[in-house]
Amino acid sequence: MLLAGLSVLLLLVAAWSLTTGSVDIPVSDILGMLSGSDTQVASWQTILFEFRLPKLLTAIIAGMALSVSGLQMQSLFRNPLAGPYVLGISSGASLGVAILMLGFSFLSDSMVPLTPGSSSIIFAAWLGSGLVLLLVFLTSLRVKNNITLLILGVLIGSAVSSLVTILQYFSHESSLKSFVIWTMGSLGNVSREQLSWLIPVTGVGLVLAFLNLKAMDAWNLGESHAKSLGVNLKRSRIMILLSTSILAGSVTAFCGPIGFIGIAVPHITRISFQTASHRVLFAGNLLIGSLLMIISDLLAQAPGGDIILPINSITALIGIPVVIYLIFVNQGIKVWK
Amino acid sequence: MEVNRTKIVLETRNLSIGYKTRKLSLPILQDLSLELHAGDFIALAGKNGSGKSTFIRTLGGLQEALGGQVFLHGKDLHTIPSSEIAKEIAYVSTDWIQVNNLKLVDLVSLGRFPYTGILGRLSKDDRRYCEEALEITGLNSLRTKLFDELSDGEKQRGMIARALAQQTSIILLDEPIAFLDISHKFEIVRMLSELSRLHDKCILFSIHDLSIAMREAGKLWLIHDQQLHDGAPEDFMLNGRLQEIMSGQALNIQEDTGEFYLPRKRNGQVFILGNGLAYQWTIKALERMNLEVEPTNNPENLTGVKVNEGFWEIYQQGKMIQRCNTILELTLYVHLLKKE
Repeated sequence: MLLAGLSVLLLLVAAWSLTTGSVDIPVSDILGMLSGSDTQVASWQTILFEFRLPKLLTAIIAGMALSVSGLQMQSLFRNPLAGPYVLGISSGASLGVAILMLGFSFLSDSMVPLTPGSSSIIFAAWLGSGLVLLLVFLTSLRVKNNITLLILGVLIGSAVSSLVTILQYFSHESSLKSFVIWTMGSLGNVSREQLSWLIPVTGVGLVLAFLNLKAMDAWNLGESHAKSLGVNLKRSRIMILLSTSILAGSVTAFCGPIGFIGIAVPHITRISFQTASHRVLFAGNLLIGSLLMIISDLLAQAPGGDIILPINSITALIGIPVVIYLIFVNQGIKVWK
Repeated sequence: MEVNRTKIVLETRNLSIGYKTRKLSLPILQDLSLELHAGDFIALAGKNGSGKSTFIRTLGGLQEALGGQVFLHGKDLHTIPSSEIAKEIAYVSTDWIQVNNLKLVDLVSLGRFPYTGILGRLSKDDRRYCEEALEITGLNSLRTKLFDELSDGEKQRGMIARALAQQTSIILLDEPIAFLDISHKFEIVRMLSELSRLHDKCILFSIHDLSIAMREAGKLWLIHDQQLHDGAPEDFMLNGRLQEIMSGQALNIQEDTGEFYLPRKRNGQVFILGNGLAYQWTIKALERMNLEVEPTNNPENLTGVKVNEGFWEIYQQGKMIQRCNTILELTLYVHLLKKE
């Protein structure tokens, strides 16, 4: 019931987002273009298919990927503060990008500052988050306790962030600015070609998460009980880590670190659906995650139409009141006490 | 004599259990060769740190043995994948489950985990087993309640229902009654004993309350001095092993009733005259006050307590010095005697 309602809402908001932008395009023309017919204004075609649609899809993917990885991290660590970045994924991506943007400009003055969205930045971010996750992952093979793993992940993340700070300290102003802009996140820099990479990759991450939902229900009872029910703890944990790195890692690579969604949406879903079943929570996170992301994007460009505010601050500004409201209505977040 | 009157479900051969670190292994119990049969109801008792939990976890395949083997239906447990073990051995740990929004019926249906497909959808049979489990544990009326809102006893019954829904031949429970009040303790143990008797399940549970183990268990496995002793609870009394184990400890055991008590230092003696229930309880009260209580039939020259119908009298050399209407009053005035 709730799922159906959210799906309808998602469709409406998605449609609304396609009609919103600095250029006014009538709804009828948008529907026409989507169904394949031509329009009188050629640039509308470009605006819709090269900008608005890719951005909408990016928002949906980012929302889904970050929410599901947040859900996985919270359930794995039984910690309501965990999120997709808790294991240092965003710090790793930042380090990769920082080395590229700041480190190289430090070596040569002549270098042109890179713009967010370029393939080299995506690659650097991916490499950075991948390396940090590999590190966390290798630790996880030795560390049996999830909480120890969580603490190690946080420590590794902090160490990596310090490296980024050092790089920032020594870098030139112009490259520093483009780096800071990158850290604010953006949905608009993903091109159609890049989407054809992002979609299948996050698809794999979501399938991995999906295959692990049943096991995550058993984790609810703690490790011993989960194992006694036949859960392969090691495999399940590896799947969670792998899926989270793929999901959060690729979204961060393409859009920069987008905060808050990954922590808030799992809570919003839990409170709205009042269930411990990960099957339901998974579906709920997909819907609410993409919904919240699209709305954030809409708000980010709403004020004048010409400026687009950093998506990172919008996700926080609209997400936090939602969570606070839900907390008050439910008298506290009671997840694992 | 036919010992193996029932089927062996679980067996250990030269099993040693304990903890392994990278450098050394710390055995807690060694060379265990034991059999568990269908219908067994075994209490595993021993002090804290004696290895009860480790033993149970090793039997359930949740922890590596240091040496030796465990056989499940004749097959080395080590060679069986955990998804298959889960169809034969259910486990209820001491871990306190802390999860929100989990309905009791959903908790119980997690017991069907080993049998459901990749999505965990329940079949008609799965549902039927869950219903049975709820029925047997008497939780039917609480099915839609959230686990969080149940009492400790109900939670424990819920965990047992989950283990039942798992439809295993063996149920291992680690301290299932540790945090319960006394009546729930007996209720849970009695329910488990019925399960083993009526459903031919092999149930092994650890417990540190020896007096309940002595009273309710079909077999007692008592860990003492890194040895596991095996027998009926009554055997432990008759062959003196329990007394031997208890010797050197503060707690003593009453040889005829099997009750445990802490011996007291006596400081004073009191004679008591009377009969019936009030008489029995008066003795208990006086003993609690560290008095040595001597029964007597002779009212002449009595120095002590006379138990009457509904009241008590304190006598000093045959003279009544105080009349009391309750045992509480008696305990307040009995010091009048002690001065002598």
